[in-house]
Amino acid sequence: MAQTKTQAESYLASLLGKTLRVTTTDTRMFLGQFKCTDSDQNIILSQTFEYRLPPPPKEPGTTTQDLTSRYLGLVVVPGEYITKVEVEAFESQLSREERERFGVGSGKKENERVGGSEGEGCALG
Amino acid sequence: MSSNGSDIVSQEIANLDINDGARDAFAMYDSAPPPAPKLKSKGVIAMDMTAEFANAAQQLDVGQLVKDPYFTLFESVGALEIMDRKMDSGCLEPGETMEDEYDFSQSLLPEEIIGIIDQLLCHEMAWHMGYPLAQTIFTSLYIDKLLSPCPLSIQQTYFDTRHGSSIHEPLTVRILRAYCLGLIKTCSYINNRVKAEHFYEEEDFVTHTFNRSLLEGIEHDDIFQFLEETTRLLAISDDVSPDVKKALDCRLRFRAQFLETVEVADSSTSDAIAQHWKTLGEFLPFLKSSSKFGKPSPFSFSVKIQRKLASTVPPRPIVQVSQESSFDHLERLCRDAAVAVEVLNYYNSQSLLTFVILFQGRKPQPSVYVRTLLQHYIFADMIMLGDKSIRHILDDDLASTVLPNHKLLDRDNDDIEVPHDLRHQMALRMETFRARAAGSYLDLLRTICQNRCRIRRSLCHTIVDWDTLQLDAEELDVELRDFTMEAPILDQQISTEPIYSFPLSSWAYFYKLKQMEWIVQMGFELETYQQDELAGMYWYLQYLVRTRYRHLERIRGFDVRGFAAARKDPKVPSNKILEYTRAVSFIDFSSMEAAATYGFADSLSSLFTVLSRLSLIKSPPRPYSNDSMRYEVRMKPFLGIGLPELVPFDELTRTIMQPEESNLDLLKFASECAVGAKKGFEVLTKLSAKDAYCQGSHESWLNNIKACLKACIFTSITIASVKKAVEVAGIDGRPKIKIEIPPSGKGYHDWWIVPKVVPVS
Repeated sequence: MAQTKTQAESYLASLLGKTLRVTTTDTRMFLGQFKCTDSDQNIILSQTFEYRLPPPPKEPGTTTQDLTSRYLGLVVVPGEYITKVEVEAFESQLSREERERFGVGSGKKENERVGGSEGEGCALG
Repeated sequence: MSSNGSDIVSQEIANLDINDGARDAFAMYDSAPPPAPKLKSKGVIAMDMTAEFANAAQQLDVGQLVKDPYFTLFESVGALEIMDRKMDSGCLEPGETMEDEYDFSQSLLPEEIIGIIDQLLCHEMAWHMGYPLAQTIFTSLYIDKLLSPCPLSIQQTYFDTRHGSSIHEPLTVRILRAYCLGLIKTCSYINNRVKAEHFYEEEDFVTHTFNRSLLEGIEHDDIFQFLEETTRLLAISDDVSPDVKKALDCRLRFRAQFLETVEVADSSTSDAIAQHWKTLGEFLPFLKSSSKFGKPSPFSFSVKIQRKLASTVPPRPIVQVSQESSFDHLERLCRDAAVAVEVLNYYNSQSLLTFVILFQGRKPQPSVYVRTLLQHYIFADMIMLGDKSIRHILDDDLASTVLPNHKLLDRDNDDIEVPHDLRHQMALRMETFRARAAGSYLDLLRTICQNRCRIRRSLCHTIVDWDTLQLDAEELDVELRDFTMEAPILDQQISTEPIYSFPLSSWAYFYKLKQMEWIVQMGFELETYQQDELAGMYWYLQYLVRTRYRHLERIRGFDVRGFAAARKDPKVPSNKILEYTRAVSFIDFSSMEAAATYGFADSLSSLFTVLSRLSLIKSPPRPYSNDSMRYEVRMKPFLGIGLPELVPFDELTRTIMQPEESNLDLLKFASECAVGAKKGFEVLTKLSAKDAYCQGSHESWLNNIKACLKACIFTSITIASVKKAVEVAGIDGRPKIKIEIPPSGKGYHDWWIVPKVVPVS
């Protein structure tokens, strides 16, 4: 997709403040608000949570695998380790084009593996 | 008493100096981080835009940023860098696994249980010493298993989930589980206590629990019973050798006692608290001696657990505190905590202040938990010492200094509702004064409960507040004269003006001077001053103490006058007469203490002056400042004080250096002052607890005075040696000595820096 520099800037600026999900080479995923980026695609996220796939089960048969999560706060993810960038959006606010592209309403669902976080139900009093 | 008013004032003061705007790593959230967002929720989808993002980013120039306008680069400095091993606690080495390969189903030797328990105790004490839980207790895999996921009943706390149902839990494992439950619950009490009081997170203690609940969901009684039951099971078991069994039994009982003690310690009425701490302390000798039966189990602790903890800070190593120093810490904690409870025995306001000062002055300083307990006992729920109002303490203090048997303190005044009645007007104004003064007075007490550096720092901040309080009180004093019909002293010899007593502002002035003295004295203790400043600072100390001495004389004059009038008045009951004797006796005591202090300070100031004249004290090179600028910075806390005025630098230099006096004259003067001070301290040592206003802490008070006395005697010796060397050297010769100045903590008393003379050949 050919872009002018101005288009690129305004595209990135339009993402500021949105919730991004950045996946790194070690398969961790960081969910936080997009604050800043640069030409190396280093990404700064605030109020970030880390999500990690749990280790493979020792006994086969246990199937429910939840992602474990924890709060990290402000992080910078260096561009060289980024394997995937996703932006969260409300389904209802998508254009028809985007709906088609992301398969919304076509029965396909994103993130089938994702479950709740481990720490849930154990909020501090 | 407007408790709300003073509450707000003290809160404001507290806000003033907490952290001084420094960014606290844990301040991001005081209680808990926000709950983790759900990754799957209806209506929200994640759109993959990896390619678009990468393309767009590539279009940017090198160094160009696209950023949120409200996000500053300054903030970004605090960001954790992902995949950087030093910053990112979640970063794994190639081939490394997230979890430790620890088998919770393995059986443990009883000796290993002892080893783990003793290691946990070391970690617990490290936490008390100021390290975060993440580097101490939370590094235990067993504790991690216990707390995550968060259990809501004892049934949910098995280390090996099969133990609850199919397999019987071995006794050794149960012992460890019971101990861990007790340990975490104990920590929970302590954490809540510390959090509730005033302390400094980065200097004293880390209350952060990394989003783990410290068994808040399980009842105290359940855990306590579980410990006791386990102790019983151990008693009837015969698989364990007697020595090891005894050691395990002692550990379980110790933990139950610790848990019980911290629970009881929170109440501020129970008489049993001190006994609980003593009982706990009695466990220590056997705990210590039986630790040799333990077998270390290093694999049950892991630094990796930090990866699972909510944390905005980089990963840090496990803290290693030796068994010896942790036992020492615990022993001191028990001893100090047992003493802290004694503050609840109230004698009078002065003894209370003395108690708190001496308690905080203990070396090493009592641990943070004990200090917060003390605060809790003094201030809990705005009730002083469990059952007194702030007014009670404040009125007590006024009566024993400036207002003995005075109508201003008559509680019946409160009941008069007729606005033009003088008593109503008096009550009204006294209420105004109390509302104003209570905040400052309570802050003074709370300040003294902080760590040593903070005490001085906070005093430097709040001293201006006392200056304002004095001015405000002065206005009230003038207004009150119309209602008290005070007859001034008319004495042409003293002044052509009529002399009024100004009781309320006198009181504020007295405490202001005391605090200014402490600021200077704590500077000696904290090694704030350079060696070449000591002559000046001791001179300043004697200047402040002398001012207090003269002020006390003035207060005494009015008290004695009132006393004489009351004795002639047959209507004054004898218990009211007693109030006068009490006030005069306190003023006499304070004057005596002041006299000894200023004598000693005078002596040291002159001694240091001579030493610097003889070039025996070196000044460090200071290319970027001059003497008068440094003086201004040093005296910054006092710059805003109206009375006593700050002595201008030139005048101070002249007064200290005394160029017209010879070295020998100065030494003679120093020696006379030291002898006078020594006599003063000697008289003080003979006072009873009641006369020295240190009821409840007489022993520490006496030790303190004796340390002053020793320092004073040592000063006389130093003066004599310097004098001899000067005489031997003659007028122009250089004395063949050098001077050693002991560091803080090595001398007889931290507030009295006495140089030591060493001959050189």
